[in-house]
Amino acid sequence: MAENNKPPAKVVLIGLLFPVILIIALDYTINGEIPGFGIDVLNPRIANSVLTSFILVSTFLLGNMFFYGESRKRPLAPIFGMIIAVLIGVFATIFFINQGPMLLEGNGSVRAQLVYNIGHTIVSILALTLSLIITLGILFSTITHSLSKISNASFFEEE
Amino acid sequence: MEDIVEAALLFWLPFAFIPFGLWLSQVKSSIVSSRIGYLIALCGVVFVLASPWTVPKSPSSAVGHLLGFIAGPTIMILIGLFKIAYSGNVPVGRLSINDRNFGLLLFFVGIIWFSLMHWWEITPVMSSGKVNRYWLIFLPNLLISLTCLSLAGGLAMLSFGDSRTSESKYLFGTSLVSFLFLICAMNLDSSNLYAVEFREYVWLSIADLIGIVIGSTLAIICFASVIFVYENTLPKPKSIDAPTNEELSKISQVILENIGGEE
Repeated sequence: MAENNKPPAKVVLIGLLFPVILIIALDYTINGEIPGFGIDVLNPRIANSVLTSFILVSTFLLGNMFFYGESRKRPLAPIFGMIIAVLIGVFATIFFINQGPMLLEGNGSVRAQLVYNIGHTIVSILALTLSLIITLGILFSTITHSLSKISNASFFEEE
Repeated sequence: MEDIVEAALLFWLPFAFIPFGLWLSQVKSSIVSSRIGYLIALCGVVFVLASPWTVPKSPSSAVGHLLGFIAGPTIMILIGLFKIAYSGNVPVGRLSINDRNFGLLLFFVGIIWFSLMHWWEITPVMSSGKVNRYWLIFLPNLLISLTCLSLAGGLAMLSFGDSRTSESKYLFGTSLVSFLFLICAMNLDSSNLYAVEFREYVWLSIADLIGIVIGSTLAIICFASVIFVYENTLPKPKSIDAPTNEELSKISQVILENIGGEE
């Protein structure tokens, strides 16, 4: 009976996206548009964020590749592949930012924008990591402070 | 020294030392390398935290300024959660009930501290008098991701766990509180920030999170593809010969000697 009341796994994914949609909908309904703020401001942020997070995560994974490669006979092969991926990301970023003011968010030069992007993404990833740790901490705390479900389940089964 | 060289030497180089030091500290084959790694990471942290004094002209020092401001409440929350979690039903190293109460105190003080950093006069403000722009990125990102992750965590408990309704309520509560905080901050001015300005940063944070998810997924796909291609090119491992009858009988004897009970 209890099994039937369980929400499907898809609901978890919806739960991940639903608050974002709700925040946008509520804010737009209550306050309307923000003066001088629109899609032309949001698009460069998404693009910069994609490119910078790609480079940072690739660099992090490149470090992991070292350990992966160490466990293989030819350690340089996967590292070489990952270096290519990082370089593609770096060149793509420089190429897109050099296309003019398309990706410059109020920063005067390509270099300033690159440095700002890195700082921005590091802070965002930090916030994301902290929220993940808080969620896991609360989840783990509630589980360790609850009665053991295993003993109850086996007791009812025996009955 | 030029400003950019100063920033590179006194901020970005020490910043790069943190992941490098942590990476080096994970080398298990050498204790010396591991210790040097921790030392390098620690030096990096100290230099980054000191950046508002060492490179005050560089805009990058705002990251160090922010890290210094959020270090206190973050450490309190993390220690608090650790003490709460390990004072419950854990098989080994269980903490006392006093530790649980102390953990709860640390956790709530940390959360209130973060809240007051938005609503009260303790907002991270730079020497120029402006609110640290990285704080305006950090707080909306933290609140949005906390709302989403705790809601998804609560639903995951219900979906994958058995009879976890009462436990999942804490996560739903966390999600609701952070959501209400966000909505209040978007509609009410705080002592250092107008609501409309905060709204802009919330929208930018949503764009930011979308970008991070897409960029990280692309990097992971790239990483997985490299491993997939590499593994496919590896020669097949040499298969060994099947065990002989003599080996099989020896194995049977060892198993017989080690298996069996009182029955």
